[in-house]
Amino acid sequence: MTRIFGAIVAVTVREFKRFLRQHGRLISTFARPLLWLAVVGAGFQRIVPTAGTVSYLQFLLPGIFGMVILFSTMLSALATVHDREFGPIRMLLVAPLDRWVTVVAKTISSTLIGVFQCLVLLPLIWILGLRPSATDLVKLVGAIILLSLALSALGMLIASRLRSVENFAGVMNFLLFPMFFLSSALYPAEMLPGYLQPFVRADPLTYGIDLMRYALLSGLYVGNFGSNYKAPFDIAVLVVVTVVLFSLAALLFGEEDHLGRILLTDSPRKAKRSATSWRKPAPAGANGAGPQPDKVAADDAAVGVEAASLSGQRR
Amino acid sequence: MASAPAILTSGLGRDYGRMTAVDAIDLEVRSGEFFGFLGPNGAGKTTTIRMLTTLLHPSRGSAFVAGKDVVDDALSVRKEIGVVFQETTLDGDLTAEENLRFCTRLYGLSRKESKLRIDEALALFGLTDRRDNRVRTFSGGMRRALDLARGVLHRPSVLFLDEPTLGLDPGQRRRIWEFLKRLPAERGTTLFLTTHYLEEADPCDRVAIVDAGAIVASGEPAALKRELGRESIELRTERPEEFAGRVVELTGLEPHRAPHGLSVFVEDAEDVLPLVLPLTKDGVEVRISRPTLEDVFVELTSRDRKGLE
Repeated sequence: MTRIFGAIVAVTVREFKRFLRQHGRLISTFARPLLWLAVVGAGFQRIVPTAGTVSYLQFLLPGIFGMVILFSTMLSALATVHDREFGPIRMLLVAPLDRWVTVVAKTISSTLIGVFQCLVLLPLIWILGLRPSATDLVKLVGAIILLSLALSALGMLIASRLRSVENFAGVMNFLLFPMFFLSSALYPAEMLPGYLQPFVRADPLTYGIDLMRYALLSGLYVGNFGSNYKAPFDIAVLVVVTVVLFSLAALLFGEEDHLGRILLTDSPRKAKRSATSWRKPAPAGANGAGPQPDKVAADDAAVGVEAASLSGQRR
Repeated sequence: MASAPAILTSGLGRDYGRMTAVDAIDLEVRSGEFFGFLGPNGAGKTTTIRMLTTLLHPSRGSAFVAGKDVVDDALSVRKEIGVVFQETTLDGDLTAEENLRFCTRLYGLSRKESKLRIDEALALFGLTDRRDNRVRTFSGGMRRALDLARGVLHRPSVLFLDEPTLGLDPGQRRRIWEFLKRLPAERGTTLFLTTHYLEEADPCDRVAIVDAGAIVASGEPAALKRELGRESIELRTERPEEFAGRVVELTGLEPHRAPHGLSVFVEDAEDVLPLVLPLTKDGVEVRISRPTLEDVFVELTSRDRKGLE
């Protein structure tokens, strides 16, 4: 238990120190949302029709929080892939910890960094002229945490399947940007054509941003900028997404076969099969000090005899 | 009965897709032994270490580390082992101390114990005054030393080292070796290391030479050299033909022409040396040439390669 807690603390402390020390990353983290607000916000303001008292920038702000969380958690996922190949994650993998502990530790640290970035950007709420109540603020932070968790779990699932950092460009193009543009971060979801609606609904970011809008814009006359779903529905979706994706990530991260330096393409399915066909022959060597297997099936025994004879040859 | 072997494998193998990285390896490393696993690049050394350290599932065979099955009881194995990877596992953005603390947290050491061990480890490797510097600013040798410090911080009973001195200068290599050599005696640690710097394997208690995923020879370095390499006596002279007859007379052995003069292959150089010493009066320089592990290694691993070329 101390070790599990220790691992979570170790990973989180490290991620925060890294985050704060990598100045380039730190600057871009905070410059990107401001740039989007200033440039993209100003442009879209003229395109997206409004019918209410809420301005486009006020509408956009939860979308920007969503973007910050999306980029932050995906960057954490990328760092996980890199770390597993070159960095301290390997220390976690040979430490006496279950694989899922690594996934928990990385999910929590990724969530906290995402939340931290949003908290730093919270003053934008007042700068953009919104005056939320204390309750609304608590709701907003809750939404930020939930979305961070869901996207961190998604990031870990991706990290568990990626073999190298190079593959990450594909994730950026085919997942990160579509997720962002389909999430109703920039424009009301109903503005998108019908054939895109299923994708909008499949995008966890949609529900996170919707929930943040619910918290931040409640009580205002929002016109077409309103929430698409009821808050409990958003929460339910995010919780389910988190639990499912996290479980999958924990399960797949435990399958270490893709961690080896793969020289030839090694399909994961094949790797898994070879892993399960792994048998435990009787320990070879005459001293018999090794632990004895409890059950040895007939074919296992054959393998055992073969292994023993090989070992006998050497002696 | 002796205690359980530190490492015991039988028929251990691993495929990557259709390629066989490790064919079938049988090893028995005794507790407290300093074991060298030698082989050319791509021989399967790293794959073997990954299987033994529970990072990779074997495709066949079995492996026990500290008496625990690496597949069924991976967690217990991980409690016993320390690993120093070929590539550094340090975080360049953290300081030396922070990197070590990351490790002590993973092993659930108390704050006090953790500080004690970090101080000790930093002192041992002469890094105390760099403890608050980021690892990014460290030289290759210092990073390696810190990697090693981290690998032994939790006092593992079996320490795996994958090419621990790769890319280090001779001075750094010597310092790391001096530390490693003391570990089995001082802490009872079993050392399992891979290297392709063959002269480094001389201090090992035993070595196994692996090529193309299988062990081609194993034993004590001295015995391997005796068995597979041949000692010879070199006779340096400008006039080899003049002395060839006298060598036969003195030793009963047929000398061979060599670039430096003559060579006599012998079973044991010490027995034959006194017999040829009279030749020194005539200006012949006499010396013993002992096979190195490198000779053994090249002898064993070159056959396949020739076939490939």
